[in-house]
Amino acid sequence: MKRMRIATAGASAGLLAVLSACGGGGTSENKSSDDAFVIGVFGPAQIVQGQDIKAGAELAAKHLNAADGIGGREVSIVFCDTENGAKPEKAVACATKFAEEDEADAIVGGFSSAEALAAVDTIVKAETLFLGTGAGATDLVKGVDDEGPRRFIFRVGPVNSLALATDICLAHVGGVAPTAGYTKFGILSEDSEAAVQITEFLKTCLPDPAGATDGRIDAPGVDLVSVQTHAVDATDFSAQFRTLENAGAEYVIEVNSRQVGVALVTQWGQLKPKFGLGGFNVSSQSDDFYKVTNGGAEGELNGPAGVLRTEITAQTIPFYDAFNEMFGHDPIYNAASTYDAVTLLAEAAEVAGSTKTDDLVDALSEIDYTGVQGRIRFDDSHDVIYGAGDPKEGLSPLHFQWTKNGDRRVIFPEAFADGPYTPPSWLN
Amino acid sequence: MELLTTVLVTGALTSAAYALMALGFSLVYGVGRTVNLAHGSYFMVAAYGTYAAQQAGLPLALAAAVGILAACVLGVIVDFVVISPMRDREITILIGTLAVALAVEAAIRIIFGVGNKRLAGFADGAHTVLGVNVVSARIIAAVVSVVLIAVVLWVIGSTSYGRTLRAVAQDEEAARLMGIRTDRLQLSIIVLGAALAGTAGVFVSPYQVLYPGMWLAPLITAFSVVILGGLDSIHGTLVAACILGFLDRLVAEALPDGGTKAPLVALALILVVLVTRPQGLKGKVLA
Repeated sequence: MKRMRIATAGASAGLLAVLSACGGGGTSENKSSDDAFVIGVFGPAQIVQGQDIKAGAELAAKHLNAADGIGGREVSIVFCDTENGAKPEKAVACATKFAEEDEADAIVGGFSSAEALAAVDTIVKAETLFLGTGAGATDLVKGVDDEGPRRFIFRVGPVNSLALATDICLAHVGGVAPTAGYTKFGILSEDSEAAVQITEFLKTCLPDPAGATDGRIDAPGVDLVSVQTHAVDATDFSAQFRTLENAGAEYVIEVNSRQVGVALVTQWGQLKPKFGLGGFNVSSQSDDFYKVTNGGAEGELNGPAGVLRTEITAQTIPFYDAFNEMFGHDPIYNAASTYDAVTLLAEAAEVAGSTKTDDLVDALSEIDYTGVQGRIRFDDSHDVIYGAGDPKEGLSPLHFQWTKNGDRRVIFPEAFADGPYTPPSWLN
Repeated sequence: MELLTTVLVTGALTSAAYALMALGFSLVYGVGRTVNLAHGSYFMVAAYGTYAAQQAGLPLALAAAVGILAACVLGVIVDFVVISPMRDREITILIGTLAVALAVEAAIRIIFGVGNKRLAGFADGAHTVLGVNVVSARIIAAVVSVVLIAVVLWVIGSTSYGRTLRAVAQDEEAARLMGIRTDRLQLSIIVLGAALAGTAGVFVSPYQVLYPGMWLAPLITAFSVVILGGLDSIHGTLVAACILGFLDRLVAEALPDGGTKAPLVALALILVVLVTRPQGLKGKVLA
């Protein structure tokens, strides 16, 4: 009889567990205000891009817990490592763990597009809210609307890859070219999928900005004289530099998302080819980049970047300083977007008067929030709205230049610029 | 003419660096029949060791010695923990040395963090060689490589230690029966291989970047060179380093978008050689 009771109790517990796992409407439905608001955060812990996602979430949780948390609930961050290379299969495992073991109220992060895209179906299936803070792939919000099954997905930052490429084009044809008088541009891109997409867009946008952006960029085009690529693990860029120089490039737009950007800029500073260099270089967003390149970065332009110690909004500098104090280095772009994502949840909960998933989705869809990155609103597919150089409209990422002293000077957008683009000293 | 000069100069520098990275790998296989996948870790440990010593205030020359010594110590550990106990199990050694490489990467990440570091070299800036502008650190790496290769060739060809090495490489059992302490010799060659890879780390890293995954590229380079040259042939290694170095620069300089095609062309060449001559170009023991 006792054995039967145990068996019955076990079966009941199992049934409850199954029912619980199958329960729809998100994991927030049955939680009380005494339960912590659990946020699952994922990214590769071995690289700074993943570490800063985690750090941004932890700082936001600290700030929120010092006040009212999220909807009166204490914020609890659960981090899951997708390992070096941001492995998509690990991201799926993380999403499953968040949904089934941690009963996360929301999931935040995803450094690479590959890992975010891999995880997103699992997240949607679990009907958990997802705020992407690292991936730029346009497909992340494909098929998303306010009512459909993918309504739980939002991208808080960075701007999507198309907007990112547009922003690079805009900063150069609208900023660098007229300031320095450059008319002949080259492109030097790493051989990766993300870089190739940006490069393909730049190949049409640089000569014809208005045509490539449906009139969004109102600036004259430049001559694109040479497009060069290098392997993602390249160590010698002298051949590409020579080709670009021989083609007459006055300025070269680099597109690098990996460590290779360090060696490239170091060698540019050592070989001093007759062209300026700038563009998208993730390595250059680290605060020690100037030191790591032994000053080779002098004159290099970089963007779109996340935040610098620039008053994008009233929250930016306090965030920047607090992050530095807590973690000992400057935040990179996804630290800022992750911080915004977590604090955005608190704002949405306040607007909705609830922490239930569907209520949060409704509130986020309509939200107009001032974060540390800038103005955050979402379009119909829940993608953060890109301001195209106008911070009043939406996110308008910074483009900065390394100075001779190793400082960073914002040169674009105009609203935040410390001054105009200046060519490196050996070109003056 | 400009293309020819450029390929000659940059190809020579690249070849010298390849040879320095691959020489130790070839020696270790030639004498001990050991494919050591921790070879790239010696490169990395020496680079980080030098960096740490520099940060501690040591002058560069002394810091470099510390870095190379750290690589040698790792070599001894690898020999005692993985290679010696598993001497006759080639696959186990492959897995074991790969495990060491991954463990070293994790340790570097914990000690130094994930961020990029820069190793200051013995020279900064660039120099013009035959009208070609090249990074100064490359020239120094090439000079060091040529000197070390000459020394190694002399040691192997003209000293009693070298004769002993060749004897062990040709027939280890016979050498042991002749009274040669082959275990000590194996250890010495592991340390020599680590020292060579470590030297490459100290002199090649200044024009690259230090990060915890940096061990893989030199391992692949060394592996490619010795496979092409013949796993057990030092002369083959040197010839292969030159072929791959000049080919890399020729493709990079001459073809449109050559920088991305160079690794592919090199791999195609290795494949062709492996199919037609599986032992590599000069697959003879310490020939």
